[in-house]
Amino acid sequence: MKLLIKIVLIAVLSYFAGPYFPWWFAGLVSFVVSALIPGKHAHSFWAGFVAVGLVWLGLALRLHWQAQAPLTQAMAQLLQVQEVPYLMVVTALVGALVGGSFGLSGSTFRSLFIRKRRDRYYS
Amino acid sequence: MKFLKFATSLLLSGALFYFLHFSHGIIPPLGKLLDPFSGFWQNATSEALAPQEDISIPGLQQPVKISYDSASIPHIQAQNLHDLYLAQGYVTAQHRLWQMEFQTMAAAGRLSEIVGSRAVSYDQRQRRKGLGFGAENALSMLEKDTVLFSYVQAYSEGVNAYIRQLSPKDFPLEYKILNYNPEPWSPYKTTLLLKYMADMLTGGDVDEQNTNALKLLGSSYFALLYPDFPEGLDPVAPAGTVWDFEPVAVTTPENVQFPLLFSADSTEKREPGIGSNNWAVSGSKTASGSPILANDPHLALNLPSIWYAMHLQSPEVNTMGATLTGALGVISGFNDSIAWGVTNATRDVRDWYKITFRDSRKEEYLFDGKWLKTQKRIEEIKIKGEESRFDTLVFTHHGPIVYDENYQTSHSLAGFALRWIAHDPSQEQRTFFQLNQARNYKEYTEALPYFSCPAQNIVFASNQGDIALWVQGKFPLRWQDQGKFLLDGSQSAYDWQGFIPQDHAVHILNPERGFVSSANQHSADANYPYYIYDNSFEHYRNRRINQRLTAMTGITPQDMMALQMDNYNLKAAEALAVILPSLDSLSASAESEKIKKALQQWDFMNTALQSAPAYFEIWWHYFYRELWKDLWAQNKALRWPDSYVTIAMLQNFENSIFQDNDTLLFHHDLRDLSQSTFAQMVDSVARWEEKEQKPMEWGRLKKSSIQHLAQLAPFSVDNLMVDGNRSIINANSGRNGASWRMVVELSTPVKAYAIYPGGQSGNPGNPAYSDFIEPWRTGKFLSLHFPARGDSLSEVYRSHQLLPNPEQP
Repeated sequence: MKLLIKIVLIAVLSYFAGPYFPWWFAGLVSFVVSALIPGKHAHSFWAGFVAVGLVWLGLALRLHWQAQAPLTQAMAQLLQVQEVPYLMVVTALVGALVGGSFGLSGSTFRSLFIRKRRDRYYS
Repeated sequence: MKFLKFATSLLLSGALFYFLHFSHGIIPPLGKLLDPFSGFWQNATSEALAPQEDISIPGLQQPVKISYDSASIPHIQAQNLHDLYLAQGYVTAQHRLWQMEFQTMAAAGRLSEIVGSRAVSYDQRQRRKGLGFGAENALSMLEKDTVLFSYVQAYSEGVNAYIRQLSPKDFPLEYKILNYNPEPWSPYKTTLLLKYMADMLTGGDVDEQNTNALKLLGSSYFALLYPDFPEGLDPVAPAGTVWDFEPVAVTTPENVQFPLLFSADSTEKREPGIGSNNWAVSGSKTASGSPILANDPHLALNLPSIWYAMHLQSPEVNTMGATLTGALGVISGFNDSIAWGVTNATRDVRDWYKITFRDSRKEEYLFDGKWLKTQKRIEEIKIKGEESRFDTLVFTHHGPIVYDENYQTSHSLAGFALRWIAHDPSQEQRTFFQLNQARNYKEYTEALPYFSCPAQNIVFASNQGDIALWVQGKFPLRWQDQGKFLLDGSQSAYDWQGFIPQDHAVHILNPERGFVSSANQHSADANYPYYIYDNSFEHYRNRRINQRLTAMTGITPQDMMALQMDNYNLKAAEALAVILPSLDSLSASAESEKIKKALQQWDFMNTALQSAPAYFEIWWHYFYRELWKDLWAQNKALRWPDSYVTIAMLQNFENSIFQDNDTLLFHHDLRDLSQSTFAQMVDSVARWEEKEQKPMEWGRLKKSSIQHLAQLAPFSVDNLMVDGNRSIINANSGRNGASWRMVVELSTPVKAYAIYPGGQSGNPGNPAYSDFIEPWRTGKFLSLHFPARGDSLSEVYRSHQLLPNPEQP
């Protein structure tokens, strides 16, 4: 459940704040959410990974379809992945790795200050 | 343990951030670039033009209306010139920002700031040949022209107003890929752009190659291979033009004996194929009775295109045509009363002077027996991701030392100073500013004298019925052969003695033949009372154009468009007339019989789908190289005699250098040579067809392309099937060709047609990035919407307003 909350929270925050901040903002969101909401380190990683990965993938798909422009294909060639689907995967993966690693950092950061494991929710 | 975990994961995140945030060599900053919120995804658009809101712009005095037609051409209506040029800057930046900045960075030698150390050598060369120096000189002259300068500043404000409102997600794509930010525009950048053009069009010479050739061949053979005025010229000013002025005297120094020096390396050569056509026909030859003007400048074809089509209107001016991104006004275009167009005048305006320095510190150099002081200038070349490098430039009164121990040490021009018109203070911008407003021949001639470099054949037609052409530029007064070879920089006798007066410039007005034209040929014949020189005057397009225009009557704009697309290969017709008959006795295979027959039946049209033009081009390539192989074998910087001179010699083979027993060089038997090179061609065609698995076609062999300005391959358009070749009116030779085609009929109202190989948008993610290429390729034109002054556009696709900033006083 907490995992799901984290995923939704990271996804919603990074989606709505995304247009106003630099690319690494999704990582920051992931860090902060994982630092505030307790959970296993692995869960924090996967929460960020899934949330940011999905947001980036979803938005990339939407922009690609909306524009119907050959730009995505050209970028796939420029970045040496050749095909649009691979470029989508790479985009999602970059977002996912950023979300995941910063989520993990947030979670391990949190544990520096928590002596015992107990359930506690921040509102 | 906890801390270790934290430290490890933080390190991981940090490493990831570092990798994704910065560029690494050619790898772009992937995080920034792929982020769908602000990366490249944001640059893809389905519509050429999105609806735009009204925007307030500081510095604007009155509202400006900007309407786009369905071809994405902006029509700017302002209430005064200041606002007009501010809006021109704003709108140009909106569609072409990256390109306009990149071109000036290239001119200034600042590409290392963008792409890192691989551009250092390029940057060093740009600075050493003095482009920045020339731009500074032009700027200080522009600043004195206070009225014009205020408009150039307004243009600059317009560009900067656009840059200021950009957030990183709106940056043009190339900034994201190359990971840098746009910097503010300035009037200096406008002068840099004009020097970029001067370099493109006059940035080469063959003084060194000529010197080598003279040393090798002696003066009589030199004159035979490289005549200043070959037989049968068809110059800009028709043969027989009377020069009714007293020429300025030029003193030839005593005892000049060329060659003065000897060298072994090579300078840059101008890309052959950079040339242009323009002409104007008088009403006596047209169907409507109004003059028609046509212009197609040929350049290296790039995306975004060097040209941006615009219509500029204020109470003072109503003009439309091709603008240069970064310069004020229209460069090749028309207004309600006149039209004008440009081709390169192709005149040598660069000389090299050998400098004798007092010692290795290069602080003094010998001149007329005295030691003059040099000036030094330290250039900082900033490099992305690395420490800056510094280069010291040494200037003499001639100009900069381009090559020395700090740059291409072994270059044979090391220690020579470059004297080049492009360094001189000049006001090219004023010429266009005035031309845009000119209403008649008189005002056209008043606009011209400000134009120094790159010298242009500026064609003119007016709705009063005048047609004219001035060869406009600043040309040194030279004695015979001065500047054809390397010069001695230690004596004032070798310096330029001044410039050809403006009134003495080559020009024609309303000639009896009913047309004026230019296609980079000789400005005038040998009767012109000044010594003019260039190594690359053209000999084919001009004759074909003049033959056609002489023959044509009842001309319509459509006829002129068709003439711009004319593919007749005059060179092939003349060359094959000599070499094809020598295949008579060839015992041939079926394949070579087929090829021979194709050439015999060829109509000399270089169309992409025919095979014969490909056969000719390959055969001529082998033939010509074999013919002049003794020059090649010298292993020195030497020039090849041009095709025109070569073919003239072939026509008179028995009496040519090829049969001359006084020299052992260049001996040939025409029959053997034709047959052996024909066989080479047949082989080469077979190999090509086997490799490509396709029948030989000219367009496939030529492989025309339009390349992205920063060579980003996916943003280039390759493998286009395009007709034509160099030396043909439709001058597409692969990388070079017609960069803008325009036909204007000076009727009331003016009718104008144009097209260029690109599109109005500079954004590779925009449908208008390359949408003109297909019509351009197939010879179709846009019919330009040009409402009279005060009238509004009939067909508006998008429009919005630029508004003065209300908070400003």
